[in-house]
Amino acid sequence: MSNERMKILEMIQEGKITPAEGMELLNAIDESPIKEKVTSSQIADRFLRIRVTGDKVKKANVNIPLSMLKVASKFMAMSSGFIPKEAREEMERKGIDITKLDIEELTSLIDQGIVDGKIVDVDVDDPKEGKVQVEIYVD
Amino acid sequence: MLTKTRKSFFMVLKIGMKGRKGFPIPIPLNVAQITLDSVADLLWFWESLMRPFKSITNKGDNYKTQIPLRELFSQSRALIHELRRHGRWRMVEVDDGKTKVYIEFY
Repeated sequence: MSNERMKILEMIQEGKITPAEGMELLNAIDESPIKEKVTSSQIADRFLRIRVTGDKVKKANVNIPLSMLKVASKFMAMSSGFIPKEAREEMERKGIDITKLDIEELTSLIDQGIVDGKIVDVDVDDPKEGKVQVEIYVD
Repeated sequence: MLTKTRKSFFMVLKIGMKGRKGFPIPIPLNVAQITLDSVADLLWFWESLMRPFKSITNKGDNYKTQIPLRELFSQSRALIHELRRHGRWRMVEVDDGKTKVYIEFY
């Protein structure tokens, strides 16, 4: 029996919640989708895909294997100290703080299969470039 | 992805410009992998007999970053291994109307 179920039953026993409320909580747990842990072989076959399409015949497609992201994250962790000061300041001005990037968390999310499906889907109407669509998804 | 069972042997960088014939730049990945493996073995052998090589160090901006050589080689090997395992696939395709750039693995 899962931990959440045990806690709910304990709360009913201690009188902290009524049986009806406990039943609702148990049903809510049952309804939430259970994500099975993705196996490493499933991760190995998955790709992070980035699609950028624009009105003016501009497009970019990038496919990155998820397993490669994990390896590349170690490189990023090693090499973040070598970014020149000027580049880092420019990034900070645009709101990107390299030191706060948690690559380990991203890779653990990938391991748990939480990063799945469409991650980003943005449509932008730029006066110069026209309509630009950006899609980032995992499949 | 047409073939997933065999490893990729080449990374091909293709650059094409509008009105001109493009040119491919093939990079043999198996050679790169064998080279890295050999250098890593040599490094291990050397460090077993002598003292370890100094790490690559960057001192600046009030902090110091050190990357051990062995770790650098290990990650490079892992990266090439990952790049090779998917058979034939296209990693990057960029087309801005005038220039096309592809990075493909065969």
